[in-house]
Amino acid sequence: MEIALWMAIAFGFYMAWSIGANDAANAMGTSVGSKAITFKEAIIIAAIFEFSGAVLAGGGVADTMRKGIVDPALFADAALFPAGNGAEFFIWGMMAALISAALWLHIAAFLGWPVSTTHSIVGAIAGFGCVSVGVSNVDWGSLAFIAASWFTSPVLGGVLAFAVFTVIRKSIIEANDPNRGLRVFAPIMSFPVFAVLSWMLVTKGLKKVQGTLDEWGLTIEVLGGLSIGVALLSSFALAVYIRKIKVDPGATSAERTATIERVFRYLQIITACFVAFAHGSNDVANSIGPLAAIVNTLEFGTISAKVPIPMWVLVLGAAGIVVGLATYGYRVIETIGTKITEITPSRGFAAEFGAASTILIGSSLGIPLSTTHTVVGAVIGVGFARGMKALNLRIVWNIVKSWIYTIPFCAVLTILLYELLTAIFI
Amino acid sequence: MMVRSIFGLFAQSPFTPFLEMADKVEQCTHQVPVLFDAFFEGDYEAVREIAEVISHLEHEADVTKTKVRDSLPKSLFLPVDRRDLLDVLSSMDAVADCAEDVAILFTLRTMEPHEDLIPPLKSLVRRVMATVDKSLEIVREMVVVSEASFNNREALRVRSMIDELGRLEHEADVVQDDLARRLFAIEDSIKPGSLLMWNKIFNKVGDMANHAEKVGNRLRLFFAQ
Repeated sequence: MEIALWMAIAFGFYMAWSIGANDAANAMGTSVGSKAITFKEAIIIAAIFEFSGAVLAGGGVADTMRKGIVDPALFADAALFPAGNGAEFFIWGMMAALISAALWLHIAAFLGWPVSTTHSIVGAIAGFGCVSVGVSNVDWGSLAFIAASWFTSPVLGGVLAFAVFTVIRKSIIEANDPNRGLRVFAPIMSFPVFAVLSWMLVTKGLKKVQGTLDEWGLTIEVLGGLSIGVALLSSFALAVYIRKIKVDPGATSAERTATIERVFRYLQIITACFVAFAHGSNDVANSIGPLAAIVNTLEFGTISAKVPIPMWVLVLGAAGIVVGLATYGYRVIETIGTKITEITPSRGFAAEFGAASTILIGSSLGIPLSTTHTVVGAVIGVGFARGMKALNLRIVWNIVKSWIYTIPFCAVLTILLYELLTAIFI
Repeated sequence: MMVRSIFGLFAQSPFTPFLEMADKVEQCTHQVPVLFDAFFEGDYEAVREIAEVISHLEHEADVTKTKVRDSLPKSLFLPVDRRDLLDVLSSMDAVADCAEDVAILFTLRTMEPHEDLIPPLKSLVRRVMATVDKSLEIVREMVVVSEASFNNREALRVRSMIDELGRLEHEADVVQDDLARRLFAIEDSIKPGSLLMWNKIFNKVGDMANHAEKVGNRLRLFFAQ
């Protein structure tokens, strides 16, 4: 079984690499495109926040992955596995799912399709469920719930981004005195970002590092107060920092726009961190979910209903994302940064804020969302608020098509690989 | 290996190509006063040459128009109505078309200048050019305003520019009517061919201003949303 462990580690890492190489660009692209941050800064921000997002907040989704669609208890069922070796089938099935999702991501990257890593792994696990425990034992309701969230997540991201950009328009761009809007808006909008980041940091982060919070003698109220305090301080610091940027009342329209966008440049740096954190926390589960399942099963010989994800598995996934970003993702971000010139910091901020909030909400509820779809939804939301000058709706159709292909392809490929792997190893 | 990226979603700004179109229309129409000057100086050789230049520039504007149209496929999601945007383009092109028509009319027949017509004709050309220039200024302003999402403050400023455009067009109209009256006052003293052609030329020059005004009126719809 040694070989199963090493294979799982290799393919889990490959999957994480692929996520870092491709998806991280979708998360960071709007910031680089609007020239809010340089491409080098994007790499550094992405590396730090993808990693911390994955390690500190990335646990929640993995459980749903394993338990939601296929019940692991079924593998101990004597009727389904008369030889009592359900655990072995489970390991190789998860392996098949991991390999097929990673392969599909590679094929899609080769074809230039922006498929979702989340869709890939969910489709693969559904295929695994069909072939191992039978079609009737796959929880289609749970799958439908996840599928529905793929519809609601772009809508939610879009609505949030629309609302944020509309507020920006009314209170700053269209206001008689944009200075007042900027002074008030910037700290208020960045407050929830700071609050959520520090909340995740002190609760989930400390929990992982130190086992239980009680050891520190900290209650949830103390932590909540602490993160709000940190957020207030950060927002205040930002407010002080942007004070020196003033819109001259006599400025021409172009100068006025340029000054406003300068403030949003700072805000977008903050949201870029937010997005990278959200993406790391959400998407790391796609690679470590199956890996953690395999590792646990190998360790205990039986399939536990709920097991903590080992720290080293999380770190492996997070490292995979950062390595993918550093070895290949930088090229993707660079290409994007030079290609999109049609997005300004205020628009990028609205889109990123909407997308990141949606992803973090989904991640903390344990619903695997697609980062790709949420960002697309958020960008279109800004478009509806008359923020974008032109959006190519044909690309939206391409994304929807790749969504339709992903699940059946990954499911079928997993079934084939499952037959192959179980034939070889069992 | 290609890139899995959603950033194909961002299309080029549909407004910036209008800057190029404005430049082309400007180049073409600005030859019209040059043509009239050559005519007033009695240099008909130069008139024919300039007419050729105008015809060439009008063709370039046509090419640009097609290019801009191609950059506006139906699959684009725009902050303004796509049809209104295409109408702006058509009206800009029509201004250049009228400039070319004026040039061609001068080459069909050797026109004779008439003492009574020269001063008001000069005035008409000046006013029509002011109208055309205003409309191009507004188009260029549209590109700036699109950066600011067509917001209220900008809308007010551009709206007042469009009002100004309407006033300029009206002034050109008044001069054009006056010119037509003067032409028919001397109808017995000039050749019928000359009468016919002058009438056509006046109308075409006036049409340049009419189409320029339409450019502004189409743009006004962007702010009405």
